[in-house]
Amino acid sequence: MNEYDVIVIGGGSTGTAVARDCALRGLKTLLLERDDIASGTVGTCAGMISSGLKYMREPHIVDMCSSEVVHLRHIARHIVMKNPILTPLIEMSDLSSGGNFAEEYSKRAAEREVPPVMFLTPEDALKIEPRLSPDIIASLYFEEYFIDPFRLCLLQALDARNHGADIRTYCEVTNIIVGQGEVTGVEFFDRLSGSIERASARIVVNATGPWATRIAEIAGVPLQLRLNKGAHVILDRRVVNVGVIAKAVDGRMIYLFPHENTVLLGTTALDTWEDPDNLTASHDEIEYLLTSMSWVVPSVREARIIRTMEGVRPLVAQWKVPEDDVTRGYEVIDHEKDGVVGLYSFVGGKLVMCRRMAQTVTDLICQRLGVDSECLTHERPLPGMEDDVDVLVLSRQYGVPAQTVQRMVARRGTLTVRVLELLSENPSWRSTICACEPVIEAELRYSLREEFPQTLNDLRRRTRLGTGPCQSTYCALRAAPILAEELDLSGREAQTELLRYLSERWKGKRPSFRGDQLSQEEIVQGTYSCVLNLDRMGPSLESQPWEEVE
Amino acid sequence: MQVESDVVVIGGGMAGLVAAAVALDAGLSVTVVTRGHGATASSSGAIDILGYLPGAVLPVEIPADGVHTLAMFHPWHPYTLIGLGTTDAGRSADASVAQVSDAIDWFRDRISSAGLEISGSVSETQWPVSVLGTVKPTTLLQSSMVTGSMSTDADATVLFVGLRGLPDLNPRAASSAYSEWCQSTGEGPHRVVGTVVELRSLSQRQALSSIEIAHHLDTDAGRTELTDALVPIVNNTGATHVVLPPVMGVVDSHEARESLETALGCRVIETLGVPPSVPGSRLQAALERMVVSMGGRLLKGHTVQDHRVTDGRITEVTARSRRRSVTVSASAFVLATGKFVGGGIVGDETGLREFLFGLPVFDAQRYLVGDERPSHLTSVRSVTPTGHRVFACGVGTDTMLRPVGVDGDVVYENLFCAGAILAGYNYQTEKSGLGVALVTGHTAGTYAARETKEVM
Ligand SMILES: Cc1cc2nc3c(=O)[nH]c(=O)nc-3n(C[C@H](O)[C@H](O)[C@H](O)COP(=O)(O)OP(=O)(O)OC[C@H]3O[C@@H](n4cnc5c(N)ncnc54)[C@H](O)[C@@H]3O)c2cc1C
Ligand SMILES: Cc1cc2nc3c(=O)[nH]c(=O)nc-3n(C[C@H](O)[C@H](O)[C@H](O)COP(=O)(O)OP(=O)(O)OC[C@H]3O[C@@H](n4cnc5c(N)ncnc54)[C@H](O)[C@@H]3O)c2cc1C
Repeated sequence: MNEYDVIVIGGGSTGTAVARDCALRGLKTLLLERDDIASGTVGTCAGMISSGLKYMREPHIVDMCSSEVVHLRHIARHIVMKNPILTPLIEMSDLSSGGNFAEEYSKRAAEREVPPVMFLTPEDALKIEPRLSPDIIASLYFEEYFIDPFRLCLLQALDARNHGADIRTYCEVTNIIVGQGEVTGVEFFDRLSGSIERASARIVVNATGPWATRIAEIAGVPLQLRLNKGAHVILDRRVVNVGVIAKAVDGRMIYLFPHENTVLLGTTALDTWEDPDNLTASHDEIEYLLTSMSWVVPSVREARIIRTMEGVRPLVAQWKVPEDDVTRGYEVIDHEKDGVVGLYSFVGGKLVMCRRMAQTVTDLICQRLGVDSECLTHERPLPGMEDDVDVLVLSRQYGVPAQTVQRMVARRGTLTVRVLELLSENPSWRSTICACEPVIEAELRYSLREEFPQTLNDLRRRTRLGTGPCQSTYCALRAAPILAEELDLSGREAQTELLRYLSERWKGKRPSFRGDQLSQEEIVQGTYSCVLNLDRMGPSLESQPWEEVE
Repeated sequence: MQVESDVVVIGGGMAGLVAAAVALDAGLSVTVVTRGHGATASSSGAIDILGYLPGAVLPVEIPADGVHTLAMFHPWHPYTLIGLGTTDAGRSADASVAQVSDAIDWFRDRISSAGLEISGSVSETQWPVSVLGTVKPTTLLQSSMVTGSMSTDADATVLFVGLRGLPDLNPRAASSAYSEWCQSTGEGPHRVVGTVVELRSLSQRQALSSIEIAHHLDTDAGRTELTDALVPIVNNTGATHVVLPPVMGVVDSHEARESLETALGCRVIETLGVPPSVPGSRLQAALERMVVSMGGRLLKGHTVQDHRVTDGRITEVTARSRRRSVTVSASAFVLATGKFVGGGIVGDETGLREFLFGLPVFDAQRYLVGDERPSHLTSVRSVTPTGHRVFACGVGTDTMLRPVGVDGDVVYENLFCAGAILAGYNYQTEKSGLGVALVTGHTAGTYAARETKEVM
């Protein structure tokens, strides 16, 4: 049996941050994720590393977020971008809340290198974003940072691995082994090989987001979360070119963020008792978002909805207050109080805090293990951050369009060069596989070799393959053979993979299926059923043991 | 602008252009008004009549028999309806088969005059190969796609050829899928190999598309370049069949194929197209040539938006293009605006409707589904043998292909529907898309011509 100091369960933003921190401090670490890195809640979030418009009531959290933004920019500038945001006001009553926000925001603006909040006249606001409703009476202008959540998690995992940690995806923890009141290890099911394995450690960190109560259950310790569902709608074009934050029909704040060639409209917040594994956005959620946003951006309804994206926030269990009033802070629960020494669970928290959350738990772990070592996660750069990259020079040197290189740099920073170097031996890997983003073959090959994806969906998280307006219609059939080649799959296995991927994409397209998306989906079905005949000749998709049967 | 015509066809895909040609054949003046390319241009370029019966697992071996069975058991299928339109229920299945067969014979002849060679018949299912190395049952093939002895000859050596820089066909993946299929059927070649060749003169291009390569292979220089690259590989492997991506010429695949075969001394086959599909565009272009050469008037880039009705008959339609508005009057009209890709059927969160006349939308069993949210007409998995109900939805018609209202009564006496706009079949799982478009287009054109002559 493999022995570790620490076993981290969960490969989301929190778990990968913990694994990285532990590894950087020299602890022998194993991270177990039952699916892929960033396949859980974090993969459904907006990626805003915010200054805290939403939790102004908790100034210490606003402070913390502000300093985390500074750290994230320091360690991962290449995957962080700054976006301007307009908050149009349509009624006089909107003005007062705007004033408070402006004050809180502006206090911490300098450290984050953003200008203080500005009040704009409707004319000026419309100059910046002509698609705003002409009926607005004023607008706030400020700037926020965003991070690519997939890349953040992956880079944290890769950095942990570079520092000696073992990262195992598709390994589901099924049991926490406890002897005489102390954690001794875990048992897990390897979904790829189908085998059950064990690993030992004195410390186990439960970083499973909304699933944390399940891990607590199998360990026999109490844990409560207030689960809160959030849905996004993704539109096929840049309806706006700057972010827009506005009041929804019920007075909550919602947003419209441009992202690559799409925009993200979100989010709802509903107390939920649904299984986080089987979420779908409801019709009500979709209409709530569209109706609310159409008050300030009337053209949102003209765009094609390409999909919805939904996740569950693992909030701290504060009850009998509206969701908005629940703290956005986090807690680390030491289950020693429940009679299990060495087990820690997270509740609450956010993407923006993941590094800090990891620091808190790793400090506790070091204390328990008697290891004297400083946290380095806010100083050491993540892979790819070593230097600035000159897009135009690379573009010329390797004969790849600047736009393609630019997108790659936004995912990989200096590691872009390693991708492009593959072209010297394989010039044809310049070919564009996913035209929406765009993603070239070399990046897929590189990712398959260096970033341990097992499925097309994993490849999507690492490269943004198929996340654009066409949602894989054209690229899935071109990417599948590349995956098959690199992972040495048979023709049949590759077809199974393709079908699984299409079903996975379809899951998010189905709830909002309407309008021009009907035509887009007819092309999918025309291609994969009618022409490629995968509906008839393809393997039949058996439900996996861990999947809910419809 | 005001135009007069005997027959107006709305929609210029397979269904509309066939209907137009049939009416032209009858000596009438025909105007086709069409917005742009629909599903026909995106199709693989192979014309499916019927590959699988709804609900069946095994493919149809003889399309004529398949259509016959279908017409016995699936009352609302377009193939069934048109049979019922010519004879009584007892013999209508035979009538359906006869109409399918007549339409195919007529089409093979007309489209060949327009420069596209089509082969196949209702008596045999053909199995062309796709870019993934999978195969599908179809009926009529552009001659460049005919696999001939490839799938049955155990001594054949099949060589899948990828073109460097074109990611559409990966020879390794395609050859392994194809050889796994051959093994599972127990027939066919024991040797399936793959290779990648480079077209030198295109190698500097950033992103190669199948269309660019197809243009290149329309030239002698392009073909020579390809054969020069392939000769040594064909000689080394002893390939008897070379399978290329769907790039064998933009206009004419016949000539490209013959010249490649002569130079290589073996069979050369192109795969089914995937969008953006060269063989699909080739078919679309040939259909347009067919109509124009027969004297039809083709108004491309025109969207029909309005119509006028007098006494239950359509008298004129008005179309708009960027620059002008055109009103065309006629005695008979054909509605061939396709499904979602074509634009004939549209849907939002409140339901589905027919775009132009607001006709009610039915599903394959003739249930009204106009008020259903589209997502409710779909299944959980993406690609399955039962498909999604929404893609079998469309306009309901009587046996003469005239649209019916919610009460089942004919709405317009002189409007005939054809192609993907029709309810009653899911072409994706059934493999019948261009076939239904061809056959119903042929039927609708015939009725429209007859209607016009009666009025005259
Ligand atoms: C709609 C929405 C929008 C949001 N927007 C933002 C935002 O803009 N900014 C921000 O800072 N925060 C945002 N958040 C909050 C943020 O996404 C989450 O708080 C955070 O990402 C949670 O990360 P995590 O790693 O704790 O959980 P997760 O990402 O859920 O990771 C938990 C992982 O554990 C794995 N797991 C579960 N059980 C097992 C097991 N038995 N064995 C092994 N692995 C297991 C899961 O597969 C999963 O990958 C948003 C949340 C939602 C829902
Ligand atoms: C990706 C894909 C692959 C396919 N592959 C195959 C295959 O391999 N074999 C097969 O048999 N079938 C295949 N099909 C199905 C087949 O393409 C269709 O069923 C068939 O082309 C339908 O023909 P149609 O003429 O009815 O419609 P379309 O070809 O869609 O034509 C409709 C036309 O109407 C026009 N139009 C719409 N509204 C208006 C308006 N208001 N005014 C003016 N014009 C209008 C459109 O611009 C369009 O030109 C495939 C379909 C798809 C999507």
